[in-house]
Amino acid sequence: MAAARWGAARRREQSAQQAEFTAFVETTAPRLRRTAYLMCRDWHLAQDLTQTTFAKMYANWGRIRHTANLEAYSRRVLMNAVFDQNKRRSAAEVVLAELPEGSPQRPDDTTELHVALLQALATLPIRDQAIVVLRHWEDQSVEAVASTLDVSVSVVKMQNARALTRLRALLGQDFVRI
Amino acid sequence: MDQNLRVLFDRAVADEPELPLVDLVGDAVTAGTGLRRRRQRLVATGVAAVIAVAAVGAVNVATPPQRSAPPPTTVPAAFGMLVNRACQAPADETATDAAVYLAPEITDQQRSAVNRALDADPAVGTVAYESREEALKKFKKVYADAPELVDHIVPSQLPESFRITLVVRSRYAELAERVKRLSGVDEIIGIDCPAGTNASAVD
Repeated sequence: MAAARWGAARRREQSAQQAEFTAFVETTAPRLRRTAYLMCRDWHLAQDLTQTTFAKMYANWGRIRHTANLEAYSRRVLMNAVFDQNKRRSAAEVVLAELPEGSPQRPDDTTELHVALLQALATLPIRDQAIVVLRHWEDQSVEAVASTLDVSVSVVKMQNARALTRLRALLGQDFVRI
Repeated sequence: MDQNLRVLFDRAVADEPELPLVDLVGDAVTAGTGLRRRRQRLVATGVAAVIAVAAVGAVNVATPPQRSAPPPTTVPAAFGMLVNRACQAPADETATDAAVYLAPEITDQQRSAVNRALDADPAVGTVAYESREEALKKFKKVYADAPELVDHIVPSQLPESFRITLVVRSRYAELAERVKRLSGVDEIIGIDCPAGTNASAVD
């Protein structure tokens, strides 16, 4: 009986859920994809990561749709997808003899500063990149970033400071001027 | 510094290509359903395993003449769920209907003896036989939105049963006592249906 009721309720709610999900994707997709782009510097990959995020959320939609903060949830799923992707890529890159581009190098004056920033960002550990992007582009509080990345508040503060110091060192004077 | 970063990040994402929203939704639904199916397939395998175990268990406990207490989750218990949505199962004192599940190894002779006993029982109104094939048809109807679940089930995994109505409420307990003692009966489950509804009508 319980099972039969559950089945009926599910069927009734399915179309409502579908509409909700579509609305959620439409409002969240642009922001998620930009965040993903800042993390991977490749729009196609960013699109894939965004898609993975939505697929995972759709698979659990019935359970998570009433979660207080779906946006926060989506950031968390996205960052996990980014970390997974990064892990796979690093594993594949071990065989490469050459250093990947974007190794620490002062940008020359012709490089546009935002390009230089992304290059500098790419030299940071992936989780530090996530902290910088969530804190300084998504405007997330230290507490929110900590919960998204499943680390303590003090870890976020420490690693954020470390990351900014490194970015300043890489970008030098230009960074201060802008 | 923070301000600078924000401005630079904005500039970095400014050259974003067009984002096809509709495809994003469609693809997420397809891929997400795939993820869910994979998970449900694991569940379905689990259900099939439970059914297999329960069937074996029923054979084992049916061998001695007197059954001890039935295991809490046998297949028939799960099949008490496959009734009209307006009804409650399992029900005891308030049962208006009941499902009498037959043991997997029941003989034709035992089956007709059970049928005769039910027909003759003073507490029983109507008696209808439900075959394994009919049980599967019902199962498929109830779980129409989870094909992964029904694809793995074959009729032989489902119990046959007699679906009975009671002449009055409140006679279920005495009826259940009598029916449980019949040889070839696996389990009886009481169902409480509001007036005018048919316990077996699932849609």
